[in-house]
Amino acid sequence: MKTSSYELEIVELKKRIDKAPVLSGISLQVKKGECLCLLGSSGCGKTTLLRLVAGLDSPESGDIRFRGKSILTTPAHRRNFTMMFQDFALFPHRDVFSNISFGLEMKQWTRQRMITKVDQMLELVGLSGFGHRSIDELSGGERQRVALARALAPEPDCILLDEPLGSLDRILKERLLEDIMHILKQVETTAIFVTHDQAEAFYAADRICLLNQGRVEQVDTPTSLYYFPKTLYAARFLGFKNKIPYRYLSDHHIDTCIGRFVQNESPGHQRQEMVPGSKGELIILPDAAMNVTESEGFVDENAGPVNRIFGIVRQVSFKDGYHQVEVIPQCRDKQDARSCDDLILWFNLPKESRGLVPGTEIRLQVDPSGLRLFQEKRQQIPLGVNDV
Amino acid sequence: MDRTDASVGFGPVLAAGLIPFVFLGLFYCYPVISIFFKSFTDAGSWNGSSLIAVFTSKRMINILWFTCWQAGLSTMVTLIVGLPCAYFFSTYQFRFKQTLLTLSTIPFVLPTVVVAAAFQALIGDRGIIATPLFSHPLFMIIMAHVFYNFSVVLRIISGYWSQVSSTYADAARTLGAHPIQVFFRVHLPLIRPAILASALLVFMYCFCSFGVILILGGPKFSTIEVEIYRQAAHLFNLPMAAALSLVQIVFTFLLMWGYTRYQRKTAAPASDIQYVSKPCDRWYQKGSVLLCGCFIILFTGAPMIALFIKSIIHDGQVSLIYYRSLFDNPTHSLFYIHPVSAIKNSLIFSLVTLIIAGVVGMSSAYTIHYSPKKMASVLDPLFMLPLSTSAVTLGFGIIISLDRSIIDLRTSPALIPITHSIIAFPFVLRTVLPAIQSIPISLREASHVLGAGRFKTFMHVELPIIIKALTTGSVFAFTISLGEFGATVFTARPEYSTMPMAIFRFLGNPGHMNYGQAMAVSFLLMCMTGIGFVLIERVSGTHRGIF
Repeated sequence: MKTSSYELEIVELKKRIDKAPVLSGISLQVKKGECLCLLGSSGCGKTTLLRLVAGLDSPESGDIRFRGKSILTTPAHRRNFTMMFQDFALFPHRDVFSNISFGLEMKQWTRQRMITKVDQMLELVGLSGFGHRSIDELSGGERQRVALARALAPEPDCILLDEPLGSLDRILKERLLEDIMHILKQVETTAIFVTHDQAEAFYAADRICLLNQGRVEQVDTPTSLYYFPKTLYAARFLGFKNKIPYRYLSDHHIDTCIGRFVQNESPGHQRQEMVPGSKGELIILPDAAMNVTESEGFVDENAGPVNRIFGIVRQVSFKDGYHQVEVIPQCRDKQDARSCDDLILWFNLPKESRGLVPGTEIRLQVDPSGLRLFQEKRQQIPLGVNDV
Repeated sequence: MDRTDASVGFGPVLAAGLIPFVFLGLFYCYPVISIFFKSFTDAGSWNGSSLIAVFTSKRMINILWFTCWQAGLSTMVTLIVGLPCAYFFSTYQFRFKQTLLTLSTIPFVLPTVVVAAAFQALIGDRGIIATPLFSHPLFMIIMAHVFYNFSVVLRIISGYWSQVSSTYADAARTLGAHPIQVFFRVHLPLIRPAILASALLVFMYCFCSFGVILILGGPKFSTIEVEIYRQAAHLFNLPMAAALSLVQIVFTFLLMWGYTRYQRKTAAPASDIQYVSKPCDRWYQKGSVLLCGCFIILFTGAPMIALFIKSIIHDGQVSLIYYRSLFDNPTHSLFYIHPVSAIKNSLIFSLVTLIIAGVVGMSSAYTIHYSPKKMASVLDPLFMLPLSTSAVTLGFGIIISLDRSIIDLRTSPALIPITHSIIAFPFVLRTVLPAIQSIPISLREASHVLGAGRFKTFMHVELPIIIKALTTGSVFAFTISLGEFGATVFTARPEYSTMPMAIFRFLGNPGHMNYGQAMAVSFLLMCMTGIGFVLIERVSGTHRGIF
């Protein structure tokens, strides 16, 4: 893809606040009409990045380009990027109408054109006839819609949304997110959406940019990010908890304390080239296992049964159409220096699965496509940062 | 408070309430009512001629008009100077912010006589920077008013402004508003209640300005306050003075009523200002903050330093002659106020005021706290009434009312601390009441359950909690009493003169010796009130109740 086809380009952006680096070299591209989500835990720099794009703060170094031209020296009010704030920042001294019309007043639209536009916006967000209400009279959800209408009214080139659902309760959140995304798709505006909520990001985004401590961890479509997290941090952030230390043998064979695993060569899954003897962490996707009897499963000619986990069922719960099973795996390799003490694995087993009784033995066959290897040098990120 | 302490019967409330009620009734309500009657009567018969004269005589109309426009102009200038500083204080983080805030508040607690003397020393015709423009009485009056009220604007507006979320400005900017548009379309409408509240308060202070105008204005400039004094003390036209007092009372009540309305909207901004602000890292931000800081230091410091310099320079040389001469009495005149006895008087009166205002303030706070909610909402503004009455009207009311009928206190020195206490006890009330209200009911209940009676609970539980607030309020009452001038000129006989009166007399008499002694006494008085204020600031860290 050519560079020029990007609407917005962020190049090596760096920013410090109180001498502490908040963004340490962020590069990112946004396509026209796309909704890009900046996902990350609090303090990862996502709101800072958004404020830099909006022009509310300025970076130490790097560049922000819009349609190929640097906009770094353009002040916020000339960028034609609007922003929706976490607390909505609706002007308390103005009613709904004049909140929405504020951006149009700044562009010196005629009164008649303004009225038409505001009415159109109110209809778009489902608040027709609310023009003369005061901000105090609005519910949280209504405020959020007014904030969205206000941000969309001046027909921005890009709309920036800073945790727009942050302060609302769960049920309202889900409904409003659907509405926002529906409206954004209707007006075909380029959008950057900041959130710490993985579910929101996966719902809203065309692409997700995962940020960690001021760096881009991964930029991908929601599906690719979920199935192929590139770093251990990404995997852990997405909630993959089945982490086991491994040692690479050769020919896609790896050894762990709970047995031997073999990666397959499924299409779409870039298998890393690795040096025999190298070490790292193995992540097993929770959906990749099924319980089998002793006679079932894949047996390698040399190594015996592979991709097999033996263990004791610790707890079973039913969740979202699955049996979620906590398994204490049985240690295979007592000599291995890496201990698998306290290791617990979680799997989502199909609801048809039988014999899931806490305290009993379980035999699981793991689908090789559900194995992710993270080599040691990639593990710059301390574990536990995002453990829930 | 919604819950009232059930363990306290109506009896103790009544007992506590008796103190402020009797005190207020005798020394506030009765004098005010006397003014009312006096302005309608002449030599015992009903006659509204004095009141009519106020609105028909050309001289009186000029005085009314001058009172209004000098207050309006002073308010405008104070706002123009204070608003940018308030912006920097609420927006940016910088070092010494608290120190600057304290420094800028010192003028507000200085006695008006000292402020007037300080401006004489700085820009008066014998001052350090004496030019025809600066030494013009009007210019000096306006400058003194700005000096005095600058911190009112700074504190109220910056306190409120810093609570206004900065995202409103961010939102406006992303919607295409130029920084100037952001200021006029977003900031200004948002801080309007604070601007109005501070403007009304400043207007009221300038409207009631007495000492500054009496000393700096000369014979040409007279406000209602000054005219009341002239009519009563020089011309002995009591009905006229009473009529003017009535007009003054009506005006100040209206102003106070307006201020309270807006002050409620600004939600106690002056107490415990918590600035949430960003660091200034651009050169122009640093520059403007630096400029603001320098301005405050220069503007508040210069008159005070001028006063000091003028008090130690004699014939172009550094000398302590003015201070030494305070101990002599060269004239042996009957009207001569001996400076040493004035200092002694001031200290004694202030100490007595501290005690009376402390007791009355605390008992009124208790009465409000333990009254049913509805009654408390009536009592609170009732006890604050003295604040909306100017000192001159109060002093005048007291001498015309307490001369014969109920008790004759006119010649008694007790009248002085009593008058001062009327003026000062609302400040004690305002500092103590929040402290009492902050005590959870459970604390008292726990004390009762553990066997302490009402009195023991008060001594061992409540008093230790409110003692800091009580100290703050009482020390403030002490400093108010030290500098009180408007009421004292009426109530104090020459032998009971206080320091402000001594300064006034010295400044009124010709000769460099008198001038120098005025500077010396002013400087001493400034140090005493300044120390009192810094002490309050150190003890409490806040200025609750000052505004």
